Amino acid sequence: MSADSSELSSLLARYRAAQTLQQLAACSRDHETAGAPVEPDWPKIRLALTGNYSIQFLARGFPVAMAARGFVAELYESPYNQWRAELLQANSPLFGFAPTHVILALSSIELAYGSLRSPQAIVEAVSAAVNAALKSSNAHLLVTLPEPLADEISDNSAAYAWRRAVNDGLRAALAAPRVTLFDLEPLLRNVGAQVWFDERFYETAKLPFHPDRTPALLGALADALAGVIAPRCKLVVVDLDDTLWGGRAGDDGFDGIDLDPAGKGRHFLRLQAFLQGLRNKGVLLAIASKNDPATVQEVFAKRPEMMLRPEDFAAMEIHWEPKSSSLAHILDRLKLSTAGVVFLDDNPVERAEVRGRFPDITVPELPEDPAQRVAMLMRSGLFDHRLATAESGARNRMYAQNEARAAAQNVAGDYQEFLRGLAMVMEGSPLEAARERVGELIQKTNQFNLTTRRYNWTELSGVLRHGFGRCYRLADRFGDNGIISVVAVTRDSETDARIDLWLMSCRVLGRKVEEAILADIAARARALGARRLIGEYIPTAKNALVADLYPRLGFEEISPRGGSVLYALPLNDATTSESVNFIAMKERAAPAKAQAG
Amino acid sequence: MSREAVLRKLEPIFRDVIDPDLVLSEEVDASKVPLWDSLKHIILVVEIEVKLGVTLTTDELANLRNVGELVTLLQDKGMQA
Repeated sequence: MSADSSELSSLLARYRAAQTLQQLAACSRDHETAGAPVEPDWPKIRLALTGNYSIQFLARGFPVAMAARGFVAELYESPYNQWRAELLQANSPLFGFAPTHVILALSSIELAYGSLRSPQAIVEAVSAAVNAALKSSNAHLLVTLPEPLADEISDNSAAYAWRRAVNDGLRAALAAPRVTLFDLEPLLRNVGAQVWFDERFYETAKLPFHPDRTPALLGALADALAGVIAPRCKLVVVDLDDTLWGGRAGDDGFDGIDLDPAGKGRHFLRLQAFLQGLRNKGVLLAIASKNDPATVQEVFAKRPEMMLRPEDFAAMEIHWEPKSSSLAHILDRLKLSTAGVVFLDDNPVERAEVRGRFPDITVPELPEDPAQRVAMLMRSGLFDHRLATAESGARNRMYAQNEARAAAQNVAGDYQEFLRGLAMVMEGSPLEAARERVGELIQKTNQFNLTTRRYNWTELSGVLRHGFGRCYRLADRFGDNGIISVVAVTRDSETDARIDLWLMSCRVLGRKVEEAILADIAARARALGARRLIGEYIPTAKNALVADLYPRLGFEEISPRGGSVLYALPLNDATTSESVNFIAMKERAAPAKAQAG
Repeated sequence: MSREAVLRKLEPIFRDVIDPDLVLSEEVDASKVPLWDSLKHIILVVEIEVKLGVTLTTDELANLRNVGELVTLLQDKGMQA
């Protein structure tokens, strides 16, 4: 049984409003009895929760908290204070659950007064457990840093010195790509120590905070987890006048706008600093402003107080057309859907106009008072963006390069000439070569995704047992696009190799990349002895883009299976592809092996 | 406040937290109500404190598994009508 969507949305509204453990528990119970809501596009995660205090209060709430963030979460809850046994042993029940994500929830109380006590012993124990977990599983770990103790009432207190030492040690020891740290301190400070701590519940229930703080902690952890899996915001489109600076550049002149760090202008600089932080984590920024482009240029050129620079923006729409047209142009230019797009504008009329045309774009009700804006945006949970793989940071640069490519396309005239002029080089490698990015693409790609299977590594390894996986990196004369496509091929029978998973970044559409990838897969399937390549397409709300991909690539439709449309391509002859004229294919060099002596 | 009056105040809280069909009497205790588990017990304590405006000590909230004792305790705390 599954909840229908109106039941689900009223349940989620109740969850969002829940302030007490009783209200949260009621939502969890209703969520359990209604059956897990299944929205076709929702990524599924398997979350294991372990720690050193009573985590059942959080565990019960996680499925509904993740549903409120667009995920289906299956949960495993470790027995009380078993985190070391669970994480150190590869055959523990926790790893038997095959988690995609593990939360290690550590409270200071047990660490400070239990068996470990000294910062050094704690750092050693936690890093040993985390390192063992990284070896035993492909799961991503979210580790909460020990929270301030109630005794931490002065920076001169022993409790404060202890926590500083523990947290500094953990931060240094746990710097790994599949580990994310979560510091409770800002949450605790924001909620208030007076209402956070209640010693009675630690003594009676091993709960290091008042039970009614559970919804706030759960919400913060769920935001962090959502930020680890798939950041909810990928593009912020921002207005300029009275949003990025005070006043109107056109009326007040470049020298009349308010960016005074000692006055009200500081609140606009606060928003700029906030956006700069997002950009550094790989979120794209764009401008939609009703202005004269020359005026805006003048502000950027002549106001050194501006923290954001023109090159921080992946696109700029500065003219007098409606903001919704600006949004449409930006999405088109950056080849993005409306998912994960946030529009910031101080003007309610502009906000309404954008909402009217793009109901899926998130348009926060920016407070009238600029001083309140950043706090409001932080509280929205939209921007909890935790995973910065090496490639995310470079993404803005790649989009800037795309803009240059589009300009080249205009002057190239002859499209084939344009493709040749791109001097594309594609490098294929096994999936292990780029695990982080492959995992990210599998979870996030919606449009060019033939089967939308959100595999974790364990599932993927199962698929690949009788086949092979490939990922592809594309570079051209404008720069490196990074890993742009992931393929998993499995053997269904002696004669057939089936493309179980194929997804690609839409940024490289229209460049014969699909053809080049197919040629590579076909050659490899043939080398394994397959005589037919089977293509599979599972329609979703978002992947109509590739509905005709296989016919376009020369496949013939065969009988459907379940929800899949199946296609076949004979592998008798070497399949030649026009793509070879435009894309040079090479294999990633294997890491150097030790020479035999 | 009479024991009966305290019981009438407690009943909706117990029904909310533990079981909507629960008929509350002084004889009810945690061992006879399967749904009265440790999680619900904590919620119960918090709800009683907030809704009835009382504060329980650590020992009181740890040992309260019997409704009759709870009523006595609330009377001792001088719960106002």
